[in-house]
Amino acid sequence: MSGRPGFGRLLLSELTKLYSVRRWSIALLAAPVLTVLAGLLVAASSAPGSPDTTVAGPDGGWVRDRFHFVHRPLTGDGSLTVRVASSALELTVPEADGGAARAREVERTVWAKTGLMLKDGLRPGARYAAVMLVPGHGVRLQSNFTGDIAGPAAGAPAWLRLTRTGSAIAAFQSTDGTAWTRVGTVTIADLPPTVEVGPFVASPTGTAVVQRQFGSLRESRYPTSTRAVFERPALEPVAGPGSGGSPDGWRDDEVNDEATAPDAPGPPPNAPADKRPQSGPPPAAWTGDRLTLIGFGDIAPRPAPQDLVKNSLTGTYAGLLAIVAVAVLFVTSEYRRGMIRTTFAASPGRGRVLIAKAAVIGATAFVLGLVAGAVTLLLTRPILLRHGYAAPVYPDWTLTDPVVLRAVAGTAAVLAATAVFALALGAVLRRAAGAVATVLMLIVLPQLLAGALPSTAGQWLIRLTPPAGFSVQQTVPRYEQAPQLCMPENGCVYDQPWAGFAVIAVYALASTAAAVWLVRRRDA
Amino acid sequence: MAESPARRSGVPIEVRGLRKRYRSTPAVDDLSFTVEPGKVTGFVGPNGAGKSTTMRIILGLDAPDAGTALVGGRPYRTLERPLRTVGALLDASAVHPGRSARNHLRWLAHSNAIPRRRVDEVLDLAGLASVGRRAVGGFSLGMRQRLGIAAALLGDPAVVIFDEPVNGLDLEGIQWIRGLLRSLAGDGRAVLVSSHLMSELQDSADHLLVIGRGRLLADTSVRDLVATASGDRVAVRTGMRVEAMTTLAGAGAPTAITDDETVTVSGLPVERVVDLLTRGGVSFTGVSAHRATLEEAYMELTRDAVEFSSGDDGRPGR
Amino acid sequence: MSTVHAIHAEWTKLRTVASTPWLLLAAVAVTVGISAAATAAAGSRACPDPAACLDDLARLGLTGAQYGQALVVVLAVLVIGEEYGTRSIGVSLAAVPGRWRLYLAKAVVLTGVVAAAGSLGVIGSLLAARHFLPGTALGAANPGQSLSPTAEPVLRAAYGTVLYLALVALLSYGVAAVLRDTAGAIATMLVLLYVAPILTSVVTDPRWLRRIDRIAPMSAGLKIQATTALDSLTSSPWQGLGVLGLWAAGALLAGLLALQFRDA
Repeated sequence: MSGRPGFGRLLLSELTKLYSVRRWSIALLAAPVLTVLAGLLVAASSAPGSPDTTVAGPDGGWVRDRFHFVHRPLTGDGSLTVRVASSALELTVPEADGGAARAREVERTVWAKTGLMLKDGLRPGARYAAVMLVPGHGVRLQSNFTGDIAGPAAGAPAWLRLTRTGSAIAAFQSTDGTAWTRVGTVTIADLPPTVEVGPFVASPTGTAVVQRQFGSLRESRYPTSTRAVFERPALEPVAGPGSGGSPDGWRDDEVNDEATAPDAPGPPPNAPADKRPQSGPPPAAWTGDRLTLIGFGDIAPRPAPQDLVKNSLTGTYAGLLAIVAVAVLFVTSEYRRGMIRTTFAASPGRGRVLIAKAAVIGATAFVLGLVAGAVTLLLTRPILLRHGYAAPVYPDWTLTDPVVLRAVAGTAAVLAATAVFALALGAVLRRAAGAVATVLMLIVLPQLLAGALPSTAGQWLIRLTPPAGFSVQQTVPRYEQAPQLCMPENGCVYDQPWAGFAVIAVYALASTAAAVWLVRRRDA
Repeated sequence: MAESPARRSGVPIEVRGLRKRYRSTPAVDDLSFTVEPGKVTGFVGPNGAGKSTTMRIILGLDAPDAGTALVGGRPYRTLERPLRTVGALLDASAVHPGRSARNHLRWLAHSNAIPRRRVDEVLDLAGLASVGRRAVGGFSLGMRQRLGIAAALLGDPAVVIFDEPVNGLDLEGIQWIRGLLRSLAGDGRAVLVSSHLMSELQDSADHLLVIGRGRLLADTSVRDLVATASGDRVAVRTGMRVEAMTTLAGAGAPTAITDDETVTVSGLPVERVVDLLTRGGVSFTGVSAHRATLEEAYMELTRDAVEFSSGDDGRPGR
Repeated sequence: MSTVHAIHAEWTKLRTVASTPWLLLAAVAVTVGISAAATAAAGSRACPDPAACLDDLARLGLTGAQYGQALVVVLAVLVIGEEYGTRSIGVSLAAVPGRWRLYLAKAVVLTGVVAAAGSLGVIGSLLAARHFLPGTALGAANPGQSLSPTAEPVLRAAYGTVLYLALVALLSYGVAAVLRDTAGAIATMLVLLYVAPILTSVVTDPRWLRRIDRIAPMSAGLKIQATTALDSLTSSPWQGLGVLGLWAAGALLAGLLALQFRDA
């Protein structure tokens, strides 16, 4: 083993081997070209559809903003206290969809909100901070749609208090009205001196997968309502008559983004029930200082219906297949021609040779992936803008946005890991046809089969096979307080983008380890 | 051969004005020759000289840019059952490794309607009868070479073309090939066999085609090639080098001083050199004659035509 | 006459490599297995709302062909790709110098074995469907749909699927003859077949969806499996198979030209 060439030398010689075969170079260059072309095709054939609302939050993001609000103005600093006596969610799932049993499952996706709201007027999308009880999720201090601070795991009955000091809003919770726990403090910029404060109720639509036709899936939505009882709302400083527990001075409104959407086309009259906007809730009812409030809707960030970056990068599949073919041939062709003997004779550390090969093909795939991803996104953005994809539903993006960078770098990393996996499998099987077919089927088939299998099986199939890696391409943010079903059909494999990459990385590492072990053991 | 026909009516290979370029590199450049029946024709040249390309063109695998290659007056691609006319071994490793030797020969036999028993006959002939059912992937290069020869002889062809047949064969195998070549020619077949080493052919070939850089350098018998080589040289050991040179040059022979005490003269027989020196009064201590070998003649012919000093005898430009 | 010998030789060639029976067996097993899994899963579905369970039972029962075709692709590519991979194409052409004849012989043998394996796969799939579907809620939700392969339109779906597999094989064969590389041809074919469905899952413009659905070889060709709701298809079953036929014809022609005019 003396005079063993340095690993750098080995890399260089493998690099030379890879780049000196003309058809491999062509195939490698075809990878970014295919990726870009497929991306352009997807962009050119995409239509934004007509969203039901286009309400934007303070930061320009697309939001839902519908709740029942009993409120009065508060000028300057002050605080509002209330006791939430009860809060009950009403949700009906038709017997056909599974009835009560299914209802419990749907309930878990519903963040029903009962609490105190401080909002810059009644315009949907306006700034706010709110403290609330969310069944199953305790006390939360939420603000400006995306902000969410978890407090104690309390439920009704409970006391809630919201205090404004300048632009700082503090939230408190108490079980008895005397000993208070701070939930948190948020700063709401640009808040005017006078804001609307008061109790509110929101009750979002629940979702569940009830039907899976072969190869297709229906996500069913169930509107809910929440009936909450508030007691003794108390505003300080007292402003005007009856600011204690009486209806005087409190105004009853429903903030509703769907109702105020400027010339929204509105769903057709024969739309299914879950697509029709719910008519307003019954008015607030006062019994002494007890206020009963029924609310619909939700206050939450809304994800874009289409992940434009991920969709634009769909062509990665086509490019990936070209890279897989080269990666497999990079090792199997040596076996076929008996050249592996020359290679192993030239550098007897067989494991090192294989690792050098893996490094070379992995690095090549990574660079190609970076180029392909960046070029695709640069070219598809103007097309998508021309097709009417616009904020707030589709926030504009640039290549330097962290999530977009993650998608591009992640795509490159997935290509690299898949190339290494393909190479290692090629070294294990030593047959090009078998290795290429196996890798490609592992990449492509789970996509198709997932829709055919029962829901959970399909999901796990994708989660555990190489396509999981593509979850790094997700750029639409996901929020805990706005749960979405994570289904392969939604392009969702893992909530955490890098989790999917870990899967393909495990494939790459395990197969490389197996290949190294085998080439050492086997005769060349 | 078990059932060799008696003297067959000869089928020659005729190559006329053949040209072939791979991209910008000429592989074969205006090549013309005839391979006569009843003779072993050696096809020699350095690696990359164009031997394999020429053979591929004869077999219709590559299309020439110009010229024709005919077997028995017809292009190979028009032959109905070509294996019955031409048997060829171009690349012994070009066999599916997963198929057994026997099955390899069987599909070849089917393709040309050759009786099935020939398969066992040629397996026997090539000494592969015991391994006929084994997958070719496990064969050594020598065994593959034998399988390739068995395949070439399957159709009992009148023309046999072997490209570097002794590659990978052991001594016994080489002797077997030599005997086989002679007996094939003895049956009246036209035998074309290539090599990049003259030594492999000098004992078995009747006729030689020397090729370099795609051009035909010599089309001659073995004996004539040796004779036309730049000739025999005589080395004269003498203290009187200048006088010796003058004397010998006076007889019109090229001379050269090769070291302190030696003058070399070419083109004159030893007797004449001794005679000239004696008559010229030049004293010398020794005269040694050097006969050119076939190998040297070949080296001289191809000196300018060597394209690769080493390496695979691949087709150029690929 | 020589063509018959060439076919005989190709048949011997194909059946004497170990990969052939395995690939054919796997193609049948995958087709039947996935079809059976699909019908068994669908058959266990409750259908409280019959409208939501409307389905094309024959098509459902033949689902496995979408996956079994991958093995057909591998087999078809190997038929000619391995000749280049092992360089034995030279030996083959020396034995059968008429190139179209060699090409035709291979195509005939390939079509034959794929049709045979495809028939087994289709029969097995339909038997599985007849075992799992009748008497289920799904079956009740789709009255009047027969699964008997002796009558139209199930008969058409059945032999159409066999034709589909044969055309996929010929398409792959042509592509491999052009590319002369096993891995490259398999990769190209799998992209051609399977990437279109992945693309359509993100394409949102309905015009483009129709376009891709009509042109992509897999979605077009598999229309031959449709037995109900024919008017909702973007093209008729036979038109769809015809599109795949055009793909195959184009690839076959390109492969023949490559074989005819390029050096072996």
